[in-house]
Amino acid sequence: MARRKKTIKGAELLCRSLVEEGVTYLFGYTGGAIMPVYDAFPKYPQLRHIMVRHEQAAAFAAQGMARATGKPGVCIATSGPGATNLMTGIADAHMDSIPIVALTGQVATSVIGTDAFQESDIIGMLVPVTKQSYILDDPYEIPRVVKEAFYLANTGRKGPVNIDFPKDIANAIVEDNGFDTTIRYPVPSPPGIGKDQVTRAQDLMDQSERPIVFVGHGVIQSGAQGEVRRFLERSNMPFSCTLHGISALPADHPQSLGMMGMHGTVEANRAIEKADLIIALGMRFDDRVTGKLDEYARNADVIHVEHDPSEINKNVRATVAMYSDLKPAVVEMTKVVKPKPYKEWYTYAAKNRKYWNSIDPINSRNGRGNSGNLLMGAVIRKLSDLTGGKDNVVADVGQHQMFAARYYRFHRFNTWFNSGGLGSMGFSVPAAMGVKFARPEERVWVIVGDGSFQMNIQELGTIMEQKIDIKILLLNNNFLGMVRQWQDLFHGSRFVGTPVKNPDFIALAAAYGIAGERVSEGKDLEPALRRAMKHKGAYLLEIVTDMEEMILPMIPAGSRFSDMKVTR
Amino acid sequence: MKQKRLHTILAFAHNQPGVLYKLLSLIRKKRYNVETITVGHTHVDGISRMTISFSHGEGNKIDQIVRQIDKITEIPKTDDVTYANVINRELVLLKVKASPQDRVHVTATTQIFGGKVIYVAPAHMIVEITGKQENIDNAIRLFEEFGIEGIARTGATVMHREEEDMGLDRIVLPEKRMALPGNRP
Repeated sequence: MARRKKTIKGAELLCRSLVEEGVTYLFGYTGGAIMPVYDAFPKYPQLRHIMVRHEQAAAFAAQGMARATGKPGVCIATSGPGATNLMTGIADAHMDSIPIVALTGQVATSVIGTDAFQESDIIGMLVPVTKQSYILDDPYEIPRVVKEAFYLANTGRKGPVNIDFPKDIANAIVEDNGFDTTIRYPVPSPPGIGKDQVTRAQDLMDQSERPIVFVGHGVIQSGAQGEVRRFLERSNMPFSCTLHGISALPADHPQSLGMMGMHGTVEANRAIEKADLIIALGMRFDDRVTGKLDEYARNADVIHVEHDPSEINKNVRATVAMYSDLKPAVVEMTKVVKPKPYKEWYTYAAKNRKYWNSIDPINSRNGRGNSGNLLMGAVIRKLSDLTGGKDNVVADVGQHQMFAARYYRFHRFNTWFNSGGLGSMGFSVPAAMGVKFARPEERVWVIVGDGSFQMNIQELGTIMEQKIDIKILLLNNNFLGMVRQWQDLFHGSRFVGTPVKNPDFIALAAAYGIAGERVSEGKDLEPALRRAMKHKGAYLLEIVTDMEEMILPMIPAGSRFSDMKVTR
Repeated sequence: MKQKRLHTILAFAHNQPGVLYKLLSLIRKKRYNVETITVGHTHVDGISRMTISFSHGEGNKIDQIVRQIDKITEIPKTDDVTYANVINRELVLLKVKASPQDRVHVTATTQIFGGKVIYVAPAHMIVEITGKQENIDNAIRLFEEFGIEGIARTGATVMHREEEDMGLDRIVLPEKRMALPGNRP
């Protein structure tokens, strides 16, 4: 008796594989080569597709989802320009080790290489900025490749994976059984730490009088905040966060010195300069962290715990290198560390903090600058106070980002999202959409400047259509503030290419049906923030800020910590 | 004069499209100075041997280079074998100017390096020599006396004298995969 074999279409096989990976949201934009996949969506209601207005936003939204959930976010675009538009968001995910899976349509295999309409060699373009890229040229490989893509994106050091999906493979009909889903590339686990390393670390910790612990992105990504906190509280050592380590531990923890690096706090940076021991947990000593490398922390031994061995000894030489996952290494160090009061060391930090507070511009003149306009730092401090540091904050790239990092007092784990490594303007609005879908019950703020807001401003359309309730705090100084600051300091105040002629942002939001208001007086700030918080639905709160404001302190690029500028 | 040693990395790669591209992309983006790359099959189906030699100036970065190459998904095993117990060989073809009177001298020089004369023309000869990269450099220097009209070097290839860890535990080879259903499109 001839039995009819069950068949399935390539596009459906892809959707089913995504469902099996637990995907719920896809951010994307359709087009010629990816249409068959979109055509299959209605059969898989578990997959919710969010149509963005530009593919770059899809990649950032997928990142927002990934950063908030710890699981891979998914973006999808058509071939050619759709795929190339994803690229900035993918490169950004690569720099910040964010797991995303990017699905791109591709022209049919029969015409690949002929410069067909909307063909681009997207794998060729993405290899340097992805962990792995696949071209699916065999429909029977779909389940295996999807499974492996999610596995690779989220295992070991996380990162983006691209799957390029030719149209004929999406349309192919195959027999629906016997798929091989073997992971071909098992990711090796770090070896962990040996007795010898623990002993050497113990010796260094025993001898140290001026230690400092660095809390990096790895602490958040590995969920080791509990272990790290126990280590800190057992040892009584002070700690400082990298930009991406912020919100791993509460900002008001008594041992916290705040953020380190180029725009880090005075107390953190002066402590690093003087430290005799650095214990670096899940971080990579990026140039914004170290300044001039050969002068960096010259008095300090370094214990570096990292699960990506290529980061160990890359920029800063480790005295004790621990190629290990964070949790077991920190647990072992907790067992051997002896608590010490570090009295003088904390007194030194307190003195530096006090000094900064005495000169911090936001503490004088009611948080206004020379122009009489509000200072960004003051606005963010107000936001932090009103929300109790408990909201999700998605910053864009620029001065406002650094002010948010420094002045928002994060109280909850993993609530701070921004583009650190690549520094992509336009990150915040789409990333916040992803965060909001991941955390629908929580409040999500976008903190954005007038320059970066306009880099993905088209996403107001997505926000309108999907009724995404995010609060956009637009700090408008009618300038590209960060570049202006550098021009002010290093280029003789020649403001080339930085003044911005801006539209009426409130009217623009209104055109998208988004409520909003503009605040230029200090006294109106708090009521306006409260209105934004209370409002049901998206809200644009534009604050007119002082264009001369600088984010200080600042260690100029490539300079020593002793060159830190604390005043203009 | 003692020559500065090239640094040699031996890597095994899953034979998938694009692996070489990934390696070259890495070398380009990190701006490593590469002298030679050789790639060929191994006795294990689906696994290739890649020998990459780096300029001596890259010596202090060699650990970093190994670790970066090791991150390529399809490369399960990467080692710095510069000082390891390995055999390191390169083949060179040299087109040497040789008048009839010179032929005997060119032949003798070839023999010093254990090479072979493989072609003779009225005014030149082609000789083939294999050896360590340093020996090849020496040979070339000697043949320069006669005049060299062409050099074709293959780049080094390296093999461990004893057992080789090809990283097979870090990769699942296709033959272990289940049989795929028939009637492919």
